[in-house]
Amino acid sequence: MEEKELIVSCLHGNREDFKMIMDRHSAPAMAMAMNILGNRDDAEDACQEAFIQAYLNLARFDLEKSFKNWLYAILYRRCLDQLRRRRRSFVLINKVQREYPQVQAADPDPSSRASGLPSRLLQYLKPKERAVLCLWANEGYTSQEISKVLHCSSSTARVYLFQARKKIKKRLETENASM
Amino acid sequence: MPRCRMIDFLYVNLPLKMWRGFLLRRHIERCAFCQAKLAGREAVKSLMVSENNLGPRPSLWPRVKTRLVSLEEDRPKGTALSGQKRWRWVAAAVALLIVGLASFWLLKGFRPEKMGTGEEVASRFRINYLKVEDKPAQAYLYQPSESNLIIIWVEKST
Repeated sequence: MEEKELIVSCLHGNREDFKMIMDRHSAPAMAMAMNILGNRDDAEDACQEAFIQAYLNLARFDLEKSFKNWLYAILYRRCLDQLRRRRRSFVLINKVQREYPQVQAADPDPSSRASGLPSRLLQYLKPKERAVLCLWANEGYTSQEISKVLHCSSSTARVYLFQARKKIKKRLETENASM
Repeated sequence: MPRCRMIDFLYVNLPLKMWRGFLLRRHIERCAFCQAKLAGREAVKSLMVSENNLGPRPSLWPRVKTRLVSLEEDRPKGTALSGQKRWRWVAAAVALLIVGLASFWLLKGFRPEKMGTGEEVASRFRINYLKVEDKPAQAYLYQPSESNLIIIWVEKST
């Protein structure tokens, strides 16, 4: 069954057909979320939220456009939400630790959660740059396509991509030199 | 090379995204020397999680399905809430109407000072000529004491 047909079927209330759409997209979506968040649990949460939001807003989706791009745009925003939530909880945990030093927080450092990133080098990039790199390297997206996911101009997407690639190259060279 | 250095300098020192985008389009993306400073697609890919090295596939469907079912069950409650919201709007409109009416009654007796005294108002009147049934008539102006009311009395001349 083609994707368009599946989407139309979902719009007619066949919820089970959404499972087939998810089966097609959950692995690449999960990879993208993991690259941005660096943590499997958070990535699963972000993916779950993105798929739910996509299902609830299917009526707004333009069938002439790419579903994958649309889903990635939703997922990217959910990943940013996760990062914001993580930062807020970090501030709260820090405050609790300062006021009640006897309390032992389970996870005081947000970077410890991000250390689940596939490569240490990715930690030096901003989440936006990680997203851009992931779309460019894993999905083969052009800056034009990336701009649609990030909701920015293609010129801006090009700048993010350039900066991310430059940073990675510099880090790779530094690592190689120190070896 | 000096040109590349110059463009790099301009790129770093003029942090405008549009300007940077222009430089990238015009030079950096076309120049082999500048491209050599960037990580290649394969090098980046090796650092990233991809579908192939994701590990166990996530089983998101059961969780998503449970949430979707619960959201659909909650929908009738949602309409009740929207009804409540409508009543809130009605209550707010009624309250606004009451406040408006109260203000009207309170301000009804109020006259701004600019209106002036009775004498000032009377001095504005000037009747040059009056006719009643096509005949010249007499006019009398009355102003009761402590009142702004002016009565114009017109009488047929006999």
